[in-house]
Amino acid sequence: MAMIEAENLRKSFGDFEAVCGLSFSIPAREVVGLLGPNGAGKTTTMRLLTTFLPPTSGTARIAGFDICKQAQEVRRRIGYLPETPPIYPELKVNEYLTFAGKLRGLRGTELKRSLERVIDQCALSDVSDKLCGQLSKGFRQRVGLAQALIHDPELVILDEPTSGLDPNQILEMRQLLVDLAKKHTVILSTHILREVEEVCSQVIIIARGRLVVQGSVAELSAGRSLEVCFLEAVASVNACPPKDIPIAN
Amino acid sequence: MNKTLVIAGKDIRSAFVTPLAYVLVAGFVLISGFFFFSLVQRFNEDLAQSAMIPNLNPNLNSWVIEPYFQTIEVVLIFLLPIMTMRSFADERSSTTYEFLCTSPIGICELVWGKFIGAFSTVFVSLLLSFVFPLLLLFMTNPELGPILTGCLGLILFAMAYTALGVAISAWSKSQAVAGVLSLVVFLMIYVIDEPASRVGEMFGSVLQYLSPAHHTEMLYKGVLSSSDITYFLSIVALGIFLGVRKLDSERWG
Repeated sequence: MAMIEAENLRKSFGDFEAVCGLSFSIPAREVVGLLGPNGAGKTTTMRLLTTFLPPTSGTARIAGFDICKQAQEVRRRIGYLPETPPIYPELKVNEYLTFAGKLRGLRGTELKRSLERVIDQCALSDVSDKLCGQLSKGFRQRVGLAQALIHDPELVILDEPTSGLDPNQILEMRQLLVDLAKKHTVILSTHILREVEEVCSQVIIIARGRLVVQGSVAELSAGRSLEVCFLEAVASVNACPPKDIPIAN
Repeated sequence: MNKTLVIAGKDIRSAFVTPLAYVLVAGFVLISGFFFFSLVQRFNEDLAQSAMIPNLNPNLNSWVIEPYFQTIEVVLIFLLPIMTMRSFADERSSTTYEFLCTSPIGICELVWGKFIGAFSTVFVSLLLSFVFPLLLLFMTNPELGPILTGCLGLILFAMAYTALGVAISAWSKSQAVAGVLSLVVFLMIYVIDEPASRVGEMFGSVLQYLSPAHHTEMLYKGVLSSSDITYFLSIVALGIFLGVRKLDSERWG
């Protein structure tokens, strides 16, 4: 069973169509890169999948559960890190992660063990007693990732997880993502091609709200770099008037 | 119920680890204490004069305690917007709102949790301000019953306005808008019965029923009436309902 199945997802904000008929399927235990230029609809797509926004039409299934009709079941199975890590500056790191764990239904010793696990996983032991507001960008990103992982979700959705990080932190984060793939399905949005090449096994390129290309990184970059592939795909979308954009199968 | 308490617990912790809650509670107690002091001072003067005026019957409950509770109502109208405006508007302006909405928590649980969290600061303020009338019990001889029902009346009054404040915060995009809108709405409801005597009997009695002061009046006199209690609980229900409706409409588009 595919972990994510999107069927003709559409999202309009008034007259503006942010996502126009997106359909794709992602198998389990893959790391998928959602690639696209700025304004392509990556964040909107993620907000649809995480049930934060309702689709204007179409639907998606996550682990077999419909995002519209079984939204609570979907929420139990996902961990989501938005572009800005959702932290409360006045709480300490372990207080915040405890709160996140309790919201996901963890209690007692299970909560305690999960807390220790994610603090270890995301290398937060040195800062677990610090206020979230005092942390640097890199640590905030890791705390945000920790809250997404605390309940051991099947699917982890990350919106630009390495944005704003310095090169060292980027390397650490990428290693973390590669480790995650052993147990979870990960979908991450980025516009850093190198990241996709190093971390992802599958890539989905979207532009102007439409799916342009989907495939494995190996196939797409066969014989040429992923950058060339990406630029070609995006150029073809930009050249067409909106209605005529070809949809990849 | 569990997740309601998780949300409430987090909000209470957030309020009390920053100076905000302490400043609000201290400010509230200071203002209440000041009004209480001036009411007692005036009572003492009237007590001295009553020896000379035969028909003046100074009564501690109706001359000090009732006006004190009524003054607290007005103080609450100005402080409650500040206490409630953060509840949702704060989350919206950062990505924590996205975090809450994508967690497996029901909308009702979220709104009730926010209400309980907001009311906790209010409740602590009220408890401390109840110390003043209760002090009188040690010094002199007021009636206990009206003091207790009066405290209940104030708690119900505060609950109703807190629920409305949380609902307004859910509807507002920023804390400032939530605060100002709450203040305007609270004041409007409080004075809604002002034209009651001039608009005809039927409409006048409707306006009177809608006014919270009309319902706390009997509670301050010691009369525990189910219609008064129902009025306040209905407003709590209305506030929660409006908050839930707003979040629900966002989830389903």
